[in-house]
Amino acid sequence: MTDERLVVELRDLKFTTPLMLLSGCDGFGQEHERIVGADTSLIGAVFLKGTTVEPRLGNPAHRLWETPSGLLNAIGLQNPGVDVVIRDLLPRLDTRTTHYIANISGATLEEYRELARRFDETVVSAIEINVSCPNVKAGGMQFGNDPDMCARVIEACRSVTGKPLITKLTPAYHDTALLAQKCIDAGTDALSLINTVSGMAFDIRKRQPALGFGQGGLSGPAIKPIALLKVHQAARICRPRGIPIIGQGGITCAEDAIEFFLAGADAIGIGTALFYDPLIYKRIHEDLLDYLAQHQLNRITDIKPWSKQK
Amino acid sequence: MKQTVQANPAPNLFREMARVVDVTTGPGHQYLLRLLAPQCVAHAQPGQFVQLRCHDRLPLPRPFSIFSADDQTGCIEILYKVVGVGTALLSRVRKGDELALLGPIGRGFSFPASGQQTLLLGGGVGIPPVVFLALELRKRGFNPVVFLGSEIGWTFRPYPSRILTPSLPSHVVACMPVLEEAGIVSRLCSFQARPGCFEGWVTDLASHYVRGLDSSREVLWYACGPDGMLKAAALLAARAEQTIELCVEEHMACGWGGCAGCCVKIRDRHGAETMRRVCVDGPVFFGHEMLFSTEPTP
Repeated sequence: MTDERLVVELRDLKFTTPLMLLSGCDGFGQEHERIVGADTSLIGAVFLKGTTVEPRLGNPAHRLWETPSGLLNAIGLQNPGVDVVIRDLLPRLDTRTTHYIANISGATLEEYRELARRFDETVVSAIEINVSCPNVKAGGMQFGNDPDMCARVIEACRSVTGKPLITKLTPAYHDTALLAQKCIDAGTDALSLINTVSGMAFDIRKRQPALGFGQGGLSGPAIKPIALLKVHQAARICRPRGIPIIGQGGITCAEDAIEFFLAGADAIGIGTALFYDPLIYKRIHEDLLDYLAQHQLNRITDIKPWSKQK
Repeated sequence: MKQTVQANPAPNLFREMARVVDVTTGPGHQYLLRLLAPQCVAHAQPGQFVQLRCHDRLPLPRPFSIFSADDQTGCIEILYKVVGVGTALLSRVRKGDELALLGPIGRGFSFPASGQQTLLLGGGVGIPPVVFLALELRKRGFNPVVFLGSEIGWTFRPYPSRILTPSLPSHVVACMPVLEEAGIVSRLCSFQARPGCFEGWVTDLASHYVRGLDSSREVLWYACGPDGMLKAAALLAARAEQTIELCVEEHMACGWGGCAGCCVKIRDRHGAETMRRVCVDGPVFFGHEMLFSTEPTP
């Protein structure tokens, strides 16, 4: 059930809650509906799995390795390619209860442009530009680590679509404020951060890297402090310009979500926590409402970002 | 390179707080855990598994094959060995504790046409789903033959089987009581020179056994265990021109198809290589589909 207190808006889009399922965590938007009790009306948006122009098999096993408070993954953008996604998968989505947002990944500027153009004609509410995947050999983070390249990717997408564009940023670039500024100037409508943090692990029995790809991206509670700082840094640029931020990185409970709102996020993404509790958004939803009641706040948007200048 | 699009999933996974009803220990840091999980039990099939949250502080749950599912009591059993952080933490649970459980997960073993002969191989970690399958096959009127292998010792007391099986070496008599009592032929394998056990791999015993069978008769093979054993079993079945179903494992995160972290390489119907999720597309695959990265056991 929609509770007006939790409604958030990003540009022209209205989301029933600020809770979003992150790309790569719910396949092409329907997987978590296998769980008895799933309720998409409590989810503001579902970010679809990263899509490329051509089909990709992704990386060899192992693709996962648990670390203290984290998960290292190297899936490698496995997906059936944009043709199949648009022809076979998007028509199955029920867009009455939540928003679905495409996530695109290219190896070249032309591929990003092509993907944005293709999704422009579909039911997705917005397009997330992934310029920060650490688990592919071409594209991905190469773009995200270069603010000027990042801007060119956004401009290429902007030229072919009127859908809202959300740019997903890497935590690897040192100057988040500059990166945010360049993305906004290039025409992004929102930012989502952070993508995973590059990392590595070894299997000491086999004496080789734990992941088939050699390295991977770290997610989960281990990266939450990094994400909060990056969101805080981006918010100083985004807020005055009215550019919303979808904060993400290790959120497992309402308290974590509130920290992200205080850092400057307008909505929050849930990822790794879904893996131990696919219905965790229900509890976070309930606990956010409790927090509002306890603190005599009328709406989630009344939680204002913390700022040094009071 | 071709990828199959899956049908819309229907809700069939239950998340419940499962109460620990009983814990027993076995040799080699093995534990038999009995959990009250009536919703999962009502739908559980051999080859399916559950995800258990072994500890609140762990980022991921752990997958365990279902060893038994009892409609009468609403309990499932899982049998596991401590191999890492998750299972070490799980071994600390006591009667009365509650664990978040998701299940039953995956596509289990298929059941053969009536009258077909069945041969089941279970090695170590692969014993639980094979025993569950054997008992289910027996309930459906089949006469499965089961070979189990372990190098760390049994969680039961083997005794000499009273069921005569001519195509097996006469000194190989040790059986698993729960199977014997159900009238199922079972034999045990180990390199540890255990009394009545076959000294060798389960696949060696299977090879010996099938040589004594009428080669014109179709046998449906099933196997679960380490990758090397599965590959060896797949080769044996292929040589005998028989179908084999393999229950595989892979590192897993969600267990419900969301993350694609547990994919294994499969050859599809058209001969193309593809990646399939062990959790919801498996964990049971045909032997001829699997593209193994490990070498078979000798």
